Amino acid sequence: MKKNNTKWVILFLAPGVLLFSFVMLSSLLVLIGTSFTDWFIGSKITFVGLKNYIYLFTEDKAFLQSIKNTFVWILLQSTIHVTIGVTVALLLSKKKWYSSPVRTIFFIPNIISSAALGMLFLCVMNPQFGLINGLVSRITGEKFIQNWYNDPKTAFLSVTLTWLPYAGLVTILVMAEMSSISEDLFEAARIDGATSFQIDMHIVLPLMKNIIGTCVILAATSMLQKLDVIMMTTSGGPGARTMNMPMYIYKTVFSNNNYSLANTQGVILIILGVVVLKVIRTLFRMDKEEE
Amino acid sequence: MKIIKKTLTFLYLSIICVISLVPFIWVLFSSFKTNSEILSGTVGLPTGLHIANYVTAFKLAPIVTFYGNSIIVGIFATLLNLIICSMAAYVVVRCQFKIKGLITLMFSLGLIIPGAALIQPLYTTFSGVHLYNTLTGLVLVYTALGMPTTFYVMVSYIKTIPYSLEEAAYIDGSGFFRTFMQVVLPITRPAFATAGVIQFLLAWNEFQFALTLTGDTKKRTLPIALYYFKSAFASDYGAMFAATVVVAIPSIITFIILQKQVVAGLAAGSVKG
Amino acid sequence: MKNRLAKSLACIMAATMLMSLAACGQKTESVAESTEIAEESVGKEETVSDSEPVEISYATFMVGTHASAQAEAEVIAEFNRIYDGKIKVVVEELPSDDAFVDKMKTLASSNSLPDVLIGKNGIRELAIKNGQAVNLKPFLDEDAGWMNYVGEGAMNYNMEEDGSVYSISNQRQIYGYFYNKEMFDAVGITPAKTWDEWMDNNAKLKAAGYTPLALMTGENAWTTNLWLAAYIGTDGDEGNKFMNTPYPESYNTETVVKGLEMMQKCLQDYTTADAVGAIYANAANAFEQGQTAMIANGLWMTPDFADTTKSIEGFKDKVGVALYPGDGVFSQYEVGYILCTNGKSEEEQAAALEFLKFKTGKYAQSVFLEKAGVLPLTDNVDITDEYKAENPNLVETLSLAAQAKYEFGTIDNNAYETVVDEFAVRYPELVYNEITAEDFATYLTEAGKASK
Repeated sequence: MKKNNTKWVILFLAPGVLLFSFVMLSSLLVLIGTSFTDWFIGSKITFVGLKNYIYLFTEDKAFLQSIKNTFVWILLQSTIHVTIGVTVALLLSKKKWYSSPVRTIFFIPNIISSAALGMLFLCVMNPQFGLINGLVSRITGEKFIQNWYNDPKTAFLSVTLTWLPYAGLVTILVMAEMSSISEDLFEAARIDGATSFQIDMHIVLPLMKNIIGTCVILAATSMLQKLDVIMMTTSGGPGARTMNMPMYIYKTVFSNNNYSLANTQGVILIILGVVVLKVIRTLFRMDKEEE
Repeated sequence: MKIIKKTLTFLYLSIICVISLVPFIWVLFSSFKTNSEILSGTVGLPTGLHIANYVTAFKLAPIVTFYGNSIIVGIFATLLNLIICSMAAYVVVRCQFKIKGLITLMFSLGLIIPGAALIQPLYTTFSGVHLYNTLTGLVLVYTALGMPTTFYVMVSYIKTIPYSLEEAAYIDGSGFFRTFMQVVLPITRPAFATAGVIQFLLAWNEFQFALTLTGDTKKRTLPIALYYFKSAFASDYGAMFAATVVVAIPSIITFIILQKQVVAGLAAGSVKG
Repeated sequence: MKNRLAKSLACIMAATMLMSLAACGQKTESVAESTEIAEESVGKEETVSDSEPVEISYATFMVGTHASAQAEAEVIAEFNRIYDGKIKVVVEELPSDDAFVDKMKTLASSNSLPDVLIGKNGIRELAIKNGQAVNLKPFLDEDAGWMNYVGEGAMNYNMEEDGSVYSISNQRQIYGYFYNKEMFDAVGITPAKTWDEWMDNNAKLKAAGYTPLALMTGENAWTTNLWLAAYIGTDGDEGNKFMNTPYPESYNTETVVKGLEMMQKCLQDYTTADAVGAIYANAANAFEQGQTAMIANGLWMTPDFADTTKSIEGFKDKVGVALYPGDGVFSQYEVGYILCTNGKSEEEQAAALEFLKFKTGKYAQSVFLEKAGVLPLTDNVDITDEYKAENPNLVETLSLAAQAKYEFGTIDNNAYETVVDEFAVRYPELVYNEITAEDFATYLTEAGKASK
C-alpha cells in the first residue's frame, strides 16, 4: 500500500462526508434526540425519557408485529431474492443470444415507478376480474375467487411476491462484476475437464463473494425502506399482517401526527439495520482486508 | 443430461421473463384503454390504438416542464453521486486510515434511515439554507440518498482489481490522483454503468422528497405528474398509465445505453485472475 | 479523446472537492444563521414598495383529474385578474388528496403553512395548535355581505366551543344513495324504508342474480362506511347523536356493533367479490357498469353517469336517488378554508383574507356549482332552472332531504384519521371472521386514543 497519502484520503472523502453531514447527520441527530421526547405536529417538545421506548415494547402490539414482519422479509429477501438474481446472472453469463434481452427484460420491473406498480398489482390480483384468478379459473374450469391481498391467509405471501422474484438489480450487479473475470481462467478450467456447473460453483461464485455480499446488504436493507407497494395494496392489513416498520413509521407521522413516537420507531429500525449490516458483513467477511 | 439441463434453464428463464414482462405489457396495453376497461379487467389488446389517454396525460399534468427538470436532476444527481462515491470507495479500499470503519458505517447509514423520518428535518434544513424549491436541493438529496448503493458497488468492484496495475503506474512516476483517473477509473467502467443506472432510477422515480422539497410547479419532477391522475373520487387510470409509459421510456433507454458499457468492459479484456 | 475525457473529469472532481472544502468553512455559520436569514428575508418582503402586488400563498389539491379542478382554476384566474397589480396568488399544486395532507402536515410542523388552504383531515386543528390559524369570527361579524353567502349553518358547523371560527366551509354536502332503477324494477322492489326491509331487498336482489351493493374497504372504506354511518345515524336519538359528534371517544356502543355486524353480512354476501380491499374506483366502476344495484355516494358522482368512458350507454336515466332506510340523509359542511397569516404583515393578512372571502363568496360558489356540482352553502346562491333541469338527481336529493327525519355527518368528517385507517385494515379481518364486531369497535376506540 502506498503511504503518505493522508492528504488524498481527506480530499477524496471530504465531499461524501460533507454531503452526508448536510443531508443525513442533522436529521439523524434530531431523530435520536426527539425519541426521548413528546413531540406532536404543531406542539411544543417536552422531554419524557424512555417513555416512548417502553410504550413501544410493552403496549404497542402492532409495532411488535411490524418488527417481526420486517425481519421475516429481510430473511426472505436476503436469501431467496438474491439467489434468484445470482442464478439468472450465472445463466446469462454464458453469453448466449438471449443474454442481453433477458437481462433487460428482467430489469424492467425496477424501472416502472411504484405508483403505477401498485395499481397494476391491484388489478392483476383483483379477486373479481384479475389476471391470476382468471387464469386459475380457465385451467380448472371452475370459477375461482381468491382475495389475495385481503384474505388473512394469503395477504403476507401475496405482498411478498410483489418484490421477491424481481431480482433484476442483483443480476446486473453480479453480471457487471463477472465481466472482470479473465477468460483465461475459464479456459484453463475447461482444459482441466471442469463442467460449466463446476466452474460456476468453484471459480465464479467465490470470486463474486464481495458483490454477492453487497447484494445481500442491498436486498436486506431495501426491506427497511419498503413502503409504497404495501401502502397501495394492503396498507399493512388485514390487522397488522403485512405491516412493516417503514409503513408503521409513516402512519405514526402522518396519521397520528406523532413525530416523537415515529422517531423512536426510527431509532429502533436503525439499530436493527446496523445489526443486520454487521451480521451480513461478518458472514461475507467483508470487513477483512484482502490482498 | 444435457437436454434436461437446457430445458430447465429454458424454463427458469422463461418464467423470469414472463413475470417481468407481464407488468410492462399490462401497463402498455392499459395506456390505450378506457378507465372502465382497466377497472373491469379487460384482458388482451386494447380495442384500436386510441391515444386519447396520452393526450389527456399531457393536458392535465405539466409533463413537459417536469420532464425537463427530471432530466436535469437525473443527470446531475447521477454524475455527482458517481464522482463522490467512486473517490470515497477508492480510498476506503486502497488506503489505510484509522476511521475506515466509521466511514463505511456512515456510507451504510443511508440504507437504514427511514425515509419518513427524514422528511421533516430535511424540509427545515433546506428552507433554512434556501435550498427549498430548487433543483439543486433535489440533486443534493438524491446524491446523498444514493450514496450507500454506489459506494458498496464501487468498493466491491475496486476490490477485484489487482493492485499490481496501480503499482506499475506508481513505479512509472504517476501520482495518486493521476493513477486513480487513468488507471482505476477506466477499469471500473462496468461498475460505473451499473451504479449509474441504479442512481439514475432513484432520482428519476422518487416522489416523497420531490413533493416535500419543492413548491413551485416549475421546479417539480416527473413522479409528481403521475399523481395528477389519482384524485380521491375521480381517477383517470388510463391517463396515469400513459404517463407511466412516457416516464419509463427514458429509464429503459438509459439502462440499455449504460449496460452496453458493461458489455464493452467485458470485451475490453479482463483483469481478474 | 480519452485523454480529454479524463481531463474534464479531473476538473469536475477537483471542483467538487474544492467546493466541498469551501462549504466546510461556511457550513457552521450558515446553519447557525439560517433562522435569522429566513426571518430577515421575510422582513424584506414586507417592506416591498406599494407598486408591487402583495403575494400570498395558496395550496390546493384540486388539480389534474379532480372533479373541481376546472372550477378551481377559473376562480383563481378570476381573482388574479380582478386584483391585478394589487394581490397575486401563488399556487402550490398538490396532486392527490394524500399528497396534499402529507405535505401540509410537514409544513404545519415547521409553522410554514401557506396563507390560505383547505384545512381538512385535521390540518385545521394543527394550524390552530401551532398558532398560525386566524380566528375568522370577527371578520364574519363585520362583513355582512360575505356572511350572507357563508350562512349561519356553515358558520356554526365550524364553530369551536369558545365561539371562534377557524374555517369557512367550501361546500354543503347532502346525499342519500344511488340505485339502479332497472334492477329494482326487475325484482319488484322500491327503496327500503327500514333497515330490515333493506336487508330483505338485498336478499331479493341476490336471489334474482344481481349483486346488490357496490362496496369497498380500501383507502377510507368510503362507500362501505356511508352505509354504516347511515345505519348508526338513523338508530334512534342516541345513534343520531353519535353520528353528529366530532371525534367520539368510544366506538364500543350497541349501535356501532350492530352496524358493523350488518356490514359484515353485506360484505360477505351482498357485494362484489373484490369489495374487500377494493378502492373507490372499483366500487364506482361496478355500479356504473351496471354490475351492482346500489352505491352510497355523493352528488359529485352524477357527471360520471353521462360519461361513456366510465358508465354504460344510457346509464344516466337508469339511476335514482333515495333516502337511507329510517329516513336518513347525510347533511354536513366541509371543513373548508383556513387563514394562516398569524404573525404576518397587515398587508399580507388583508390580502389573504380578501382571497379567502373571494374563495367562499358568491362568485366562487356559483362557479363550483356550475362546473363541479358542488352545493352552495346557502340558498342565497341561485341554482338556475337550466341547471336543475340538467341535474334531476340534485333536485330529487334536495327535496328528499327536506323530508328526512335524521340528518348526520360522515365518519370521514367525524373521526380521527387513525380511526379511518383502522377501518381499512380491520374490515378484511371482520369479513374473514378473524375478529367479531365487538373486537372491531374496540380497535376503533383504541385507534382514536392514539390520536392527539
